Amino acid sequence: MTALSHIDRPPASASPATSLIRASGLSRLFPLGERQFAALSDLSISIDAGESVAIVGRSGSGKSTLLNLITGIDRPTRGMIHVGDTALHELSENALTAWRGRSVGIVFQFFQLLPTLSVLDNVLLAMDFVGVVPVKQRSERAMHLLERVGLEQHATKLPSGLSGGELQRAAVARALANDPPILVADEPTGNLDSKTGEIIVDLLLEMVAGGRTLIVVTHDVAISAQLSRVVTLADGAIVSDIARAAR
Amino acid sequence: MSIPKRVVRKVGADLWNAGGRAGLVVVAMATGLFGVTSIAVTNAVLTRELPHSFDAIAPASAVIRTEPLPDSILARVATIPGVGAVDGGRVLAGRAEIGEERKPVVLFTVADYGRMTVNVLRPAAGAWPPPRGTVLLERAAVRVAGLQTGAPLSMATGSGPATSLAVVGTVHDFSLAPAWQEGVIYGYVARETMARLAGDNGLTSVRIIVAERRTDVPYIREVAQRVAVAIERSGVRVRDVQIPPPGEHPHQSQMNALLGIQQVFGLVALLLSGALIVVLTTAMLVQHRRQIGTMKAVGASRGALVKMYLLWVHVLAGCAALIALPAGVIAGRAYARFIAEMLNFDVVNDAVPALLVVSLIALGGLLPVAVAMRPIFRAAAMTTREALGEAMPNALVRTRGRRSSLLDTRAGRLTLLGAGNAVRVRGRFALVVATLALGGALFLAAVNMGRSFQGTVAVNVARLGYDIALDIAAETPPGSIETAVLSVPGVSRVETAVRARAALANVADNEANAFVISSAAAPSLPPNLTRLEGRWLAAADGRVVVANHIWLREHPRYAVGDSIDLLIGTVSSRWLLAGIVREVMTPARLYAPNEVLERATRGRERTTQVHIVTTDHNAAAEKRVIAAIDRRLADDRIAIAGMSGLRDTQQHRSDHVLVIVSSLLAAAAISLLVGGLGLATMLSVSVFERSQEIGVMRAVGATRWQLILLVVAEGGCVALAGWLGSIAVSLPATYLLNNAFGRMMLGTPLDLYLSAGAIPALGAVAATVALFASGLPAWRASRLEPRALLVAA
Repeated sequence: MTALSHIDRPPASASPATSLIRASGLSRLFPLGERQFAALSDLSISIDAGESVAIVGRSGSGKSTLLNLITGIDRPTRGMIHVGDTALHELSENALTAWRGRSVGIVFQFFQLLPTLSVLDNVLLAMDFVGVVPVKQRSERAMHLLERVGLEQHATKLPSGLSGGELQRAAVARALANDPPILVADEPTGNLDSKTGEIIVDLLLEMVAGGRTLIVVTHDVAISAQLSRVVTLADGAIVSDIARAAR
Repeated sequence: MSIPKRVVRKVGADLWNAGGRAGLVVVAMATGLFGVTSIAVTNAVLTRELPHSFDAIAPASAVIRTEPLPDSILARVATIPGVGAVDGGRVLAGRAEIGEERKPVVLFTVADYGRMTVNVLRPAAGAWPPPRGTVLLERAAVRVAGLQTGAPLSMATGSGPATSLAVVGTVHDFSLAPAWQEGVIYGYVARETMARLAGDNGLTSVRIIVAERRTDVPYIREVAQRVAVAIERSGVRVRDVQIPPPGEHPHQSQMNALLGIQQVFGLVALLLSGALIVVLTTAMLVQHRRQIGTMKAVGASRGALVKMYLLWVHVLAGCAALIALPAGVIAGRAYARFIAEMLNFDVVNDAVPALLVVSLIALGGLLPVAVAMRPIFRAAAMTTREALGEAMPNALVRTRGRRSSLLDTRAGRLTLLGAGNAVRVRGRFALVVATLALGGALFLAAVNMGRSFQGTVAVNVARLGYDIALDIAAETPPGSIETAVLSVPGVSRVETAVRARAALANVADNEANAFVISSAAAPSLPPNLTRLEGRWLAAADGRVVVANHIWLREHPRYAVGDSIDLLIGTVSSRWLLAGIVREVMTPARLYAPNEVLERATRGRERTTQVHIVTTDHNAAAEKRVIAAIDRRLADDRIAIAGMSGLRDTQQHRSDHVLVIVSSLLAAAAISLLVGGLGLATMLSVSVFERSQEIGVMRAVGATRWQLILLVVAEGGCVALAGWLGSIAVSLPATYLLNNAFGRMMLGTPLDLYLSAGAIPALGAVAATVALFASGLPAWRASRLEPRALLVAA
């Protein structure tokens, strides 16, 4: 386990020019019958390149909504969000998809592998969609990724033939298919036992060791303890943002 | 369009996994395509083959009917300017004694069987040309005569004794209407045989083909008139000149109308299958919602997803086309042969035009893609959040918000919940109900049309007020005919009328030449006629005529109040057109007052038509009376030109229509099948979408039977709406069908008769369809495990 040095840091109100992800004044409202529910309310945050950030909070605190905005899966009702030079809040749905394919790798709680494709094809399809990896290099790269997550023996199997841990490892390989600078995981261990969960977290940390940015939404204190920064949300706002030395 | 092999593999695996639902999509696509293909192939083959077969017989441009003339006149006619070919023949009407029945016979001979040039006959089987003392039957008349080769045809003409002619084979005469339709036996005999039966060796018809401008009616009329004048100058009286529509088989327009109706049915089936494809594609996309979300999350663009799911549809459409196109071609060819047989011609070449094949392949490939485009675009356009979210996005299903009012009622909460569920996704509900309603409406319309046809014919036959029609050709006083016929046991009443052939003295272009003018009693309108315009004959009328609607259709330049110059025999006289009546099952006809027409036709060629009422109104009694009248008139040496029972005529026409109604019902059954598939799919998707809800119900104690009731109630509600819709749509559909079919078969729209049993029968079919369609989804719903459903949710 890493020795932690807690550094309290107030919630970010400005967007340092050097940050990779800069969000300011983010609000996300959802219609709820006649009323509107604010999942996020005037939230600002900056995440630097290479940081590993845990976003924690109770159910309904706005964690997943924030993650969706950062990954371009959803759009803010108000506010701005920049990733590098890209203003996500200004992009069309198509442009967001293209950007996400190049820039973000996502690991879901329920793995979300396509059930009718083999593990290898799941990784390859992500490359096919985005097209940044040259065609001739795709198979080799996909196998290399599967080797890194320890699934080379299972490459030709369908997802239904894999255990939960293996599925999540395959999902990690797929998330890295296009070599994105940002890796995002939404409750990556939520559907796994604790031992398997640890393996997945180790794997995620290993994958971002080369300078990638990692953002993990989690309830699991053990996971957040391993990341360099912990952002706590409540009622759609950041209530604490703690940076510390990563392990 | 480049498609990565992973996408191809995924599409293949997805479809394989979709199993039954993918199968349903293929069936839906195949059903519509089969309907259109079979009808298009039938149309293509018949549209090509009918004119081709008709051209092959060198059809006459004009027929000049004359008193008997020598063969030498034919050579003279051939030299008249404008005449390209000439041929001659003779016709003799009589009746055959077959068992207990008397059937009308028309015998033909030609100038020279070895050198036929106009309306050429084609030997079909047996001896050729007909040896002396024998007869060849027209091949479609074999069924009417009920005689096989070698059997004797006992035939009587006029008042003479019966002559026995051995049937030695069959011949195909495509210039005639099919024998079964007329209920007449057509026979072909040698010149010598005809001379023996008719009493002389003369020819009575001259058929010509014009040398040029063969479709130019005024020109044909001009040439025919020259021929008629030349024949008259030879001292032979010309009875009339007939110019059939150039290059057109007598049944061409009927066939066109029939094919048109069928095309409409085929297109409706295609439309329905298109609607079903939309429902099924949406259903499959609903299942793929999360996968779409995942793919978008890892960078799949909208275009990439559209391509992927279009490939899906292409694969399904390809499978459907592989089934439907060959099956449709086989069925279409078989149906074309059936129609050809009905119209008495051969399909020599049943090849399907390459352009049609290409069009059908394109249709099979493009239609499913075209109709599936919208749901695919909507699915691909979902935002990633919507696709990955818990709630079913509006892009895929548009739900109805008002449900609580149904559930708040006290009775049958589950049934009401099922009914409420049925209308939750309004678009899908409307599409499936419309599919069922349209299929059901076609079914009802086809049944109603058959019923209307039978009703119209039966009522009109009944309104005629007589059972047997007898034609006496010779100048026999009507009084003595009436006396002779009345003396026959089984005859209760006899009426006579004069009938003659007439023509317009000043024929306009494109008008038919000859028609019938009959005498009628004044002043009461006969019950089989309906006044459309003007008035009926009055007791004090002089040269006044009333036309039936067929006559008016053939002579559209006339209106009530106009004068008509009629040529009856060789004498021209002016008549006033006083009214128009509707008359079913008859050719063009004018009615004139009894005494006036009797005077106008005295000494000219005419027949006396005798309407006989029998004491027992059934087919067996009719046949007995016909045979007895035949014997009685032969004893009195009164020559019979023709005699037929109206029930026979009615039966012939009804049998014919039955076949057409059956084929329309088959098309309607296909549409109903498509509707049933739509319902099954809708329910299966509905169960899938509400898995979580069903899990909650199971968790709070719903039994399997209650869940089954819930789904069956949903299916029943859709089927009920479809049934009610089909009843509503069937009324205008029946009206349109009655109009088109009536004009085609009877020259007038059919009277509306609704089949009393059809609506409950359709209700029973709808209930059965609903039960079967909801059975499997209901069973599936009942087997869903609450634990798994709630965990997945």
